Amino acid sequence: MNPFNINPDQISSEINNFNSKITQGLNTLSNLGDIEVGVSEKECVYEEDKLRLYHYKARTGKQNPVPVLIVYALVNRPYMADLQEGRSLIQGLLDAGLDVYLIDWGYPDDADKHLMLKDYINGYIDRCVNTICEKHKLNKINLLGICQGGSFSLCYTALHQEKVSNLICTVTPVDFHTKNDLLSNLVRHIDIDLCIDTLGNMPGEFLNSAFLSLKPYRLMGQKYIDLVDILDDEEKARNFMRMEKWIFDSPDQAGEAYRQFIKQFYQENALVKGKVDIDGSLVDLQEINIPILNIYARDDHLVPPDSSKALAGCISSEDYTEMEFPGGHIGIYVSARAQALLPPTIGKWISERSSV
Amino acid sequence: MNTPWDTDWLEAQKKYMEALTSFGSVDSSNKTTGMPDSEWQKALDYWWQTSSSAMPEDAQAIFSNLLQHSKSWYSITEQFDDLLQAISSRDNTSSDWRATLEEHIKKMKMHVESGFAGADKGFWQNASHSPVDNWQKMFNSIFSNQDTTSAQYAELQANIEKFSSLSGLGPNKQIQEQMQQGLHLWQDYQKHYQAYRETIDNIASNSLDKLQEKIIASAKQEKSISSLRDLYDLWVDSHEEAYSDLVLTEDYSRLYGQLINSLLAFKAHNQQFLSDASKALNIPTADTQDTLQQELVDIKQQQKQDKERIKILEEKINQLDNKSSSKIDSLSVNKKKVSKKKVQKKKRVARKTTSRSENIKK
Repeated sequence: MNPFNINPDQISSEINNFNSKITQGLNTLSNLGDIEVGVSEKECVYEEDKLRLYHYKARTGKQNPVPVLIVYALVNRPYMADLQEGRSLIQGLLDAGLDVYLIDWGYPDDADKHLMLKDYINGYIDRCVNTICEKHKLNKINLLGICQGGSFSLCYTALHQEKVSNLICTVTPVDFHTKNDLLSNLVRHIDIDLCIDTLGNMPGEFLNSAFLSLKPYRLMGQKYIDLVDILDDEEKARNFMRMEKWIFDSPDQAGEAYRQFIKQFYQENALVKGKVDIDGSLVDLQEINIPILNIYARDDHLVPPDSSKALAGCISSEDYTEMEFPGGHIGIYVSARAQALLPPTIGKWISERSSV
Repeated sequence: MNTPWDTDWLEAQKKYMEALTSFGSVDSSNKTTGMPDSEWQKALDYWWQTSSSAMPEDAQAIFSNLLQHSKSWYSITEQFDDLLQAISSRDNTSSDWRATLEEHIKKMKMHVESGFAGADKGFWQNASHSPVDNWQKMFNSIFSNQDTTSAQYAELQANIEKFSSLSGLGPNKQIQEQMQQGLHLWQDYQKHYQAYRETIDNIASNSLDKLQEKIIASAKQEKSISSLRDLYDLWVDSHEEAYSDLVLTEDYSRLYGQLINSLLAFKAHNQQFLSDASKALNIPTADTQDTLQQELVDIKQQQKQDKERIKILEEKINQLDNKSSSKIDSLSVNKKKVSKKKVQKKKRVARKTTSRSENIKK
C-alpha cells in the first residue's frame, strides 16, 4: 500500500493554516500576563541558609498522623510537584489525607560551593526530619524522594533508618550504569575535578542544556511546532508557558556536592556497590529494611526504568512494592493520568503501613 | 496589560502577516509556499522584529523559539514537497511509490553527505543541528563572562602558527608563554569541536535511512501519512533514534568528554592568566575568595554544631531544673507536714498544760 495520502492542495492548505496559527499565537501569548506557579497553601516552618521547609495546609478533615517529607532534587525547582490547580502531586497527597512537608533547596550561590553531600544528607535533611519529629512528637516520619531527591532519601534512610517509617521513591536513579542511560553515558568521560575546580558551582543553564541534549530534536524543535496547535487556546498556552518556566528555572549546583554526586553516583556507580561515602560512612542499601514503594516511569528518558528497578536487588526490606507509571519523567507529576493514579496509590500504601 | 497603541500595532502586524500568508497561497498551485524558502524566512524575521516588542518577556523567548523552529519546519516541508508531489502524481495502488521514495531519500542523503552544500544549506542545518545549537548554549553558559577573551583568541587564531613558533624573550616572556599555551588549548578545543560537528552531521544521513524504514513500515502496517505534520513527526522520531544510537556508544561518550574537558581546560587557563594579572596588581583573586568562602562554610558548620550542643545542654539543664524543683517541692511538702505535726503537738501540749493547771486550781 502507498502510505502517502496527501496531495499538493492539502500541503498548501496545511502550510497556510500553520502560518495563520502563528499569527493568532502572537496575540494569545501577548495577552497571557504573568504565569503563576505553585497552588497549595503552605507555611515555612524551618529555614537554614538557602533551604526552606514548607508545611502544606490540610485539605481533609482527618489526616494521617505520620507526616510525609518530600525530598526534591537539587536540579530544577520543587514547584513542579505543585504546579497548578489540578496538576499538583502535593494537592493529590493532601486530598489523600496525608500531612505534607517539602524541602525547597533554594538557589545556591558562590557562598555554597563548598557544601558537600554530607551537608545535604546528614545536615539539611536530618535537621528537617528532626524539626518535623519534634513538631509532631514522633520518632520517625515518612520520606518521599523525587529523582535525585530519591537517591538522597535512600542514602539518608540507609544512614538514619531509625527516623524513617516508610520510604517512597519516585523516578529515582539507583543503578547509574544501565545500558540505555543516555545521561550517564554523556558524563562518563567528563573530568569532573577540572569542571568544578574551574567553574566553582555548576551553572544551572549548562545542566539544563545537557538535559535538553538527551532528546534535542523533540525538546528543542518538535515541542515548539506542537505549540502552534494549541496557540488558539489561552489556557493550554498558559499551561505550556508554565512548564517552560519550570524547565528553564534551573538553580546552580553547589560545586563540591555536584563533584561528589557525579563522581560517586554517575561515574563510579557506587550506590549499587555500597561504596557511596558520606562523611566517612559508607551507604549500604542492604541496611534498609523498612517498607519501600518504588515508582518509576515507563518512558523516562532521564532515569531509565531499569535504573530505578535495580533497587529491588539492593535492599533487605521484605515489604517492597514496585509501580510502573505509563508516562515520562515529568508526566509522572503533572499529567492528568498521574493525578488520578499516583496520590491515591501513595496515600493508600502509607495508610496500610501506618502503625501510629 | 497592553495599551491601545500596542493592540492596534499588534493588529496591524497580524494583518500584515495574514496578507503575506494569502500572498503565498495565490502562487501555491505550482509551488508549496508560493515563494522561495528564504523569502519566507525573511518575512518571518521581519514580522517578528516589528512585533516582538509588544510581547511580555517570558512569552517573547518562547515565541522566538517557536519562530526559529518554524523556519526548520518550512525547510523540511520544502525538502519533502518534491517527494510528495512526485508520489501523489502516481496511481495510489501502484507499488512504484517505493522506488520514488528511495530515489528521493538517496538524493537527500547525497545532499547532507556533501556537507549541506548548495543554496539551502541553512535550512537543513537549522533542522538537523539541534545538538550543535544546544552545545553553543552550553558554551555560552560557561563563557558568559569571558566572551571577549575567547573572541580575542579566535582572532589570534589566524596568525596562530606564527605566534606559537616565537620563543619567549625579555620581561614579557611569561605572559607570552601563557598566551601561547592558551592558543594551544583553544586549538585543542577547536579540534574536538570540529570532530563533534562532523559526528552530528552524520546523524542527518543515518536518520534519513531510518525515515525510509519507518515509511515502509507504515505501508506494511497499512498506516497512512496524511499530512506534512505526520511526515515531520516521523522525521523527528528518525533523528531521535539515530541520535540516541550514537549517544549510547563509547566513542561518542569519549568525544563528548573530550569536547567538554578541552573547553574547561581553556577556561581554567584563562582564569589562571587573569588571576596572575590580578595578583601582580594586588587585587584579590578567585583563590583568595575561595579561601574566604571555605572559611565561611567552616565557621557556619561550627556555628550549627555549637547550636545543636547548646540545644542539648539547654534540654539537660531544663531536665535538671525540673528534677531539682520537684525535689524542692517534695522537701517543702515534707517540711510542711513536719511543721503541721509540730503545731499539733504544741497544741496538744498546750491543751494538756491548760487542763492540768485547771485541775490544780480546782
